[in-house]
Amino acid sequence: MTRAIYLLCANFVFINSLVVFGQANKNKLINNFDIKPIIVAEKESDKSSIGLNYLISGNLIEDNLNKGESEDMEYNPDVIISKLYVKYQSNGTILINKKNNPLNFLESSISGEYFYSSNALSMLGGIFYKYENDQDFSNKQTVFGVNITLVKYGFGGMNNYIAIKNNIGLVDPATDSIRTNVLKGELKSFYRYELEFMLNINLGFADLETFEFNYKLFNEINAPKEIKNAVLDKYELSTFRLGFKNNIYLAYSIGKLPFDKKDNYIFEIGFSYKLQN
Amino acid sequence: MSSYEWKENLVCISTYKILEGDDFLDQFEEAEFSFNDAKDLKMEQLRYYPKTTNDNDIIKLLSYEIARKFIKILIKNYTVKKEKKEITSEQFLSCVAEIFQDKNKKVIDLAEMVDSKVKFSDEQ
Repeated sequence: MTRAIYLLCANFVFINSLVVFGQANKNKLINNFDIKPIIVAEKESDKSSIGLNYLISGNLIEDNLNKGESEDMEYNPDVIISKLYVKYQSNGTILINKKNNPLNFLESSISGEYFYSSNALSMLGGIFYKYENDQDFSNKQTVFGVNITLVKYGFGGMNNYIAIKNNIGLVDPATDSIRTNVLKGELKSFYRYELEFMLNINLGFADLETFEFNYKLFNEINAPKEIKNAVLDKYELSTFRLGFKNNIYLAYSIGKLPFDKKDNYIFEIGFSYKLQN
Repeated sequence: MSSYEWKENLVCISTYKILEGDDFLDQFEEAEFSFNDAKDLKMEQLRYYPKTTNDNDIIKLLSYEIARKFIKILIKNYTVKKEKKEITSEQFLSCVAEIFQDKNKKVIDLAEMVDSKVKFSDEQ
């Protein structure tokens, strides 16, 4: 059954209290510390639920493999970047009313990766260990695997870009209520392929500035027939976003993420303004 | 808040023109954000900053890609040298990329970073 969940997102810019902390800790141990309040209008009632989007990430270890540089006074615009990292990230969306969280999928990970950037493209690849859970931790699992991410700016035009992220991992479900029901209580590890694809087109005419498309796929490899019959082997989420002037945007998402029981159709209209300088 | 002075010198003008220029990075319109207004623009307000993902890997790689474009345009269109010869090209690119990666950094922060690494023809 189709259902629509409307989100009205007012991106309040709390620069001082939260962001200053992130900026003060400029060492690379914390690259990002971003917490953004959101308001979700619940479809099932007239109530709204307040929540937070969060992202915390940083580097634990960093090693530059390309240390050579001539000592002249000119910069080389074609320099190649080659580095090794050990890093962490935690991100997700949490609501006061947990049950109506349309993006009820939180992730925390640690990874060891190789980073390469040249005129051709930029890429990042390595191994990762991830913990996935829903907001009340009633469903949770770990994932261990390999990943590669590629980004090319200037794709199909001056300021358009494309990004592709691929993971293959071994998922070890600790608790998964839906999977437990389908498999009659037998939870086993399984292999999963993840894909995130993003396209950003810089329109820059009239009031319409950007078009952005994002597609996320979680696909279980060689899933048991019970899982396939229950349509639990594949999760997809597509988001289309139009960005207008004055930070106004219109976004539409369709699909579901792991731990979601059914598809969501999410309309999002947003605007941003500063509360203080 | 940054104490860096935003003024009509080559570092600030070049930063503004490279970000705004239709033939350059085209991240906003002059009609919407004049030279004086643009200094407070955050990276997340610019057109390149992804709005449908918060994946740090994608944002990091994208920041290097756009930083490389920014530096290429800067070197091609302005007469610039290193502020100090010990600064490597990798360091310069990484520092600029860090600005582009941080959604809360502003255009003035980018200018300040460039100024710390680059000597323009109007500087002693």
